Amino acid sequence: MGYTRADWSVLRGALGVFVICVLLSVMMLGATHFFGESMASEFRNHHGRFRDASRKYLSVDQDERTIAEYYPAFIDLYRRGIIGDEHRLNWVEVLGEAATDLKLPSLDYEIEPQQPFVADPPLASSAFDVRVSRMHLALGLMHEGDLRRLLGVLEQRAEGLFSVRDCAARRIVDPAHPGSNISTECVLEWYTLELRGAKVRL
Amino acid sequence: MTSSPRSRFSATDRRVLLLSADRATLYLARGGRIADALQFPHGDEGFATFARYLAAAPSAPVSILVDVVEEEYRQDSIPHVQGADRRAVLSRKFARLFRGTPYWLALNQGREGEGRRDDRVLLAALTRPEIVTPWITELLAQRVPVAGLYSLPVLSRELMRKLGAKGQNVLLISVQQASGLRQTFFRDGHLKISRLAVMPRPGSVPYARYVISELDKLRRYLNSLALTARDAPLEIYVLSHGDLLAELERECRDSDADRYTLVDVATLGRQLKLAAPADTPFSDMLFAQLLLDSPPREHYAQAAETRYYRLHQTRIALLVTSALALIASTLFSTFEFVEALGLKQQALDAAQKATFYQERFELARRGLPPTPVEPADIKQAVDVVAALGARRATPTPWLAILGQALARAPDVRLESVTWTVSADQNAVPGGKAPAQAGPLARDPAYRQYEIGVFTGQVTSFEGDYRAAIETVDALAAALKAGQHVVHVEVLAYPLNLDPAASVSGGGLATAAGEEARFEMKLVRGVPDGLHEG
Repeated sequence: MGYTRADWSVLRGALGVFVICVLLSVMMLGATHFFGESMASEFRNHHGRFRDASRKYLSVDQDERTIAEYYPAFIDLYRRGIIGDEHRLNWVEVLGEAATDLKLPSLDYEIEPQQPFVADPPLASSAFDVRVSRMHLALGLMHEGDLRRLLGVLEQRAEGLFSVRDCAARRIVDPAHPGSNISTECVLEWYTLELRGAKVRL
Repeated sequence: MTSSPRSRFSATDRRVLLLSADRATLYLARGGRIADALQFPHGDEGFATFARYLAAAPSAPVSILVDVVEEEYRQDSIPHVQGADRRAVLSRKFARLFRGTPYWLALNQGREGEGRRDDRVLLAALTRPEIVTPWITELLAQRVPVAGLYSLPVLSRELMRKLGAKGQNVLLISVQQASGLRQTFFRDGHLKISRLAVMPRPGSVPYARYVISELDKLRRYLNSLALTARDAPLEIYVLSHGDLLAELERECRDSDADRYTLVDVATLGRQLKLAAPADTPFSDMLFAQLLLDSPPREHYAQAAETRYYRLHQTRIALLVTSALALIASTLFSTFEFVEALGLKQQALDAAQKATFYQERFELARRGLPPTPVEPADIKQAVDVVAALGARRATPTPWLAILGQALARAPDVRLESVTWTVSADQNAVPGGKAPAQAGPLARDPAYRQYEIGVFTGQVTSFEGDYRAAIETVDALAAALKAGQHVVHVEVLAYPLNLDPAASVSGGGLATAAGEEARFEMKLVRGVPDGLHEG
């Protein structure tokens, strides 16, 4: 028993209604879902703004205390070349002065380009990037105490924060540098904090 | 109740067409209850009127009920098979028993108790299909959904249940206006045989006596076929009304073999919730209503004859599904919409509050000194610099420890030093491979290590290696006493004491230029927060 085209025509109206109802249902569900998502997104945005604004407002007192407590130190670090641009010229000048004052038989330096510093263990540097400039020193010393004094002069007079990474010294007799008894090579790392994506300007 | 077909074409929901040999009665239902009826005589004029009616009336489904003499019954048994096999077996049976009719059905009536335990079946067929085919042809021509072609005796099973007849031998007697006196016998609830007799016009013969005489004929027939259970009486249910019912009450007397139950058609009509009182001795409407309420599963109609009914059911299912989808999506969308409006309101509230707090923050912020970065970042920057400062390293503390030890060892002259700082105390200054075999474990008390390797020589060496080695060991012991010294190791003695190494030299006196050189490693831990130098 097969159905003819005329038989199926009985269903034509019902099929039409079914298709229209399904389309209407899908459109209604889609529209309300889109509207709901849009409202939820708007709510999330405004709620985030509200949360941020209220947090900032409630932290004003804390900000005031933080500024009073830390901002002088921040300015000092900026002036000492630890925050902001590094003071490479100052380092060279201080090295020259130290060589003269300490009467070092020889002093040669080489400073590498500044690059990001990867700390071990890592530092929580927040909005700042920590950068490092490596300085290679080749020294002729009269005796062991010259190295300690040179590092002391750099620490007191140079604008910046440094740490000695490596040192190698050996006893020598160098006719080219009379009085030079110890040949020393050291690597110093000069650290600088810079605002990520911007520059600190006071 | 019965109307002229030309006068009453009205909307109905379901219909029953009761067919007898000489007429067709169309019962119309509203709200599922029989409310009206139309009659059409058997013949060309009746068929034509019926066709006009169908063309004009709404296309509600029709269930056809047949009550004709030309319906035969056979008790038989077939193998216990299912599906296509069962249909094939039955087809062969019917082709043999009821030749020339497409209208047959089989009622399953249990299984044999012995042997293959075959299925017991009652085979029934309409032996004169031409009684029903003209009506069905008209219905199909108008594409009217035909739900089925039902047998009135088969439908009587439902009436028996309504009456509560549960005896072993039950005989149901009813009179239909369209067909006559119908006697249907049930054994253990199964239809066994049914007989239709002509019923004379009321008043022309004594009604009760005529019924009893017909009953006697059937009883003799039953006895001849041994269909009744001998140890149980024949329970006879007679449907009638009014004077005829009173007449039956006078004539019908219970005996050991017979038990009469007289049923008022009007009472049964109320039980079946007919739309109008059934004040008539005829049971036509009762059966029509019963067919609407409980149609039997078995019926005579061919698949081709019920195709419009299946399409009708599909159409109803589509419409119901459409309505449900629309209602469900409307409800869900409304819920979503209301929820979204709630979110919108909350978003507006949040925006207002954000603006309020932002303005308050700006006002409060004006009282603070201007800073190039956020206050929290100022603190962070200062803390980072402090952390870097704490990690600062210089060789001065390490050299101080070495200097103090050398001051107590005047026979030792320092030649060279390599120094580095690392979080790993196994690191080697100058990048050389580690001398020790096993790595030293990191001590959590120290943040980093100052690691140095130095070389020297014993200046007063005169060939006495034992004394030179003792001098080196004494220096190592002095270094170990230094503050935060975590490791001291002699990497090379003046004389190589390793059994795997080769050693050469003079045995009598110190050769000119012979020196007692050694190499030593000193590791100093830098505690957390401690920085010296």
